[in-house]
Amino acid sequence: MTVTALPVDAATSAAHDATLRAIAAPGAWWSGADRLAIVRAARTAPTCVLCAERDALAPAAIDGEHDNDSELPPIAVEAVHAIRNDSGRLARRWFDDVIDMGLLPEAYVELVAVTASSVILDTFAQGVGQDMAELPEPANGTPTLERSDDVEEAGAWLPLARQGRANILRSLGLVPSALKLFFGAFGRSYYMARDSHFALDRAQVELVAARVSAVNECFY
Amino acid sequence: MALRESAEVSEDTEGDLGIVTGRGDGDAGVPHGQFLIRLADAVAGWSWDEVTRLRHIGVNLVGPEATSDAILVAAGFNGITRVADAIGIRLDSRTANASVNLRATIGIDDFAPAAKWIA
Repeated sequence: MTVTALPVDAATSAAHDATLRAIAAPGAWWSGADRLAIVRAARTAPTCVLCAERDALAPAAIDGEHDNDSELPPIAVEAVHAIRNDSGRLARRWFDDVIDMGLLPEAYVELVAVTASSVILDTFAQGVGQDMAELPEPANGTPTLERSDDVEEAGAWLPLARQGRANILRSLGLVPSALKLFFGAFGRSYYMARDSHFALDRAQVELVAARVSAVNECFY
Repeated sequence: MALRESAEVSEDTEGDLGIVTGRGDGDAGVPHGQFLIRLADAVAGWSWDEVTRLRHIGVNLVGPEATSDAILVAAGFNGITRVADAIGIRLDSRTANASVNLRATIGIDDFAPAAKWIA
């Protein structure tokens, strides 16, 4: 059998479309235009010359200029590219530098959510043989400046949501809309709902999940 | 989350889960495990030519829906690992307790150097 693009179930398409529309709307700390610029920065990261040069160097180095055709501040592009290209080597010192250079922790959390969500959408689209989705026009409006107080220190670089049965589910809790955005994108990729169903058995799903974590050098 | 669930599932598998980190061979007792490992590698590494090749194999081996779902899972974990790494979360006790044997088997703790949390 010859295939071009694989089938995509309607619920997954709907969830990913909804994520893209949500990204185009104003967030808590970034405008819709900014959030779409984060997606574009994530898409240009694979061909960034600085990232390629850094690949063999200390990942904490922030010197240099990333390929960037957006209006995002350079430190935001640094964060997007590092998260997209080299997340397994991110360290506390790098994070502290990013914050010291002017990115608010709340804005960073939202940037992480948008970047990681776009990674899911774009990886899946290309993986099944589709083009990456065309980005919508940004919706008007201003960021809400939302910040949750229902957080606590839990040994991470940032406070986590108090509620949640695992740290990953609490990770973006400083900005609840960011947490909602990300898990909206991720939800179809794992057993996040009672009616989650895959054409793979549970052991097959877990094998793929664990292998991707290993490839990305993620201990979690 | 994934490791906790994986640990629970691993109780039911007879294969060598060391293949997750390249420490073992075989298919981990998982149907089409070797194919799924190769597909996970290609998707996580954004190796699109290899993904295209494996898509064709997968359609005949496990079917188009299962191949699509494997890519969906891989894409999701390509995202969620970035969240975990970028927020610097630590392993929660629930996940750690549930996955202690699995972690030892696959050696995934090697990816949590202490320097990650040193300010």
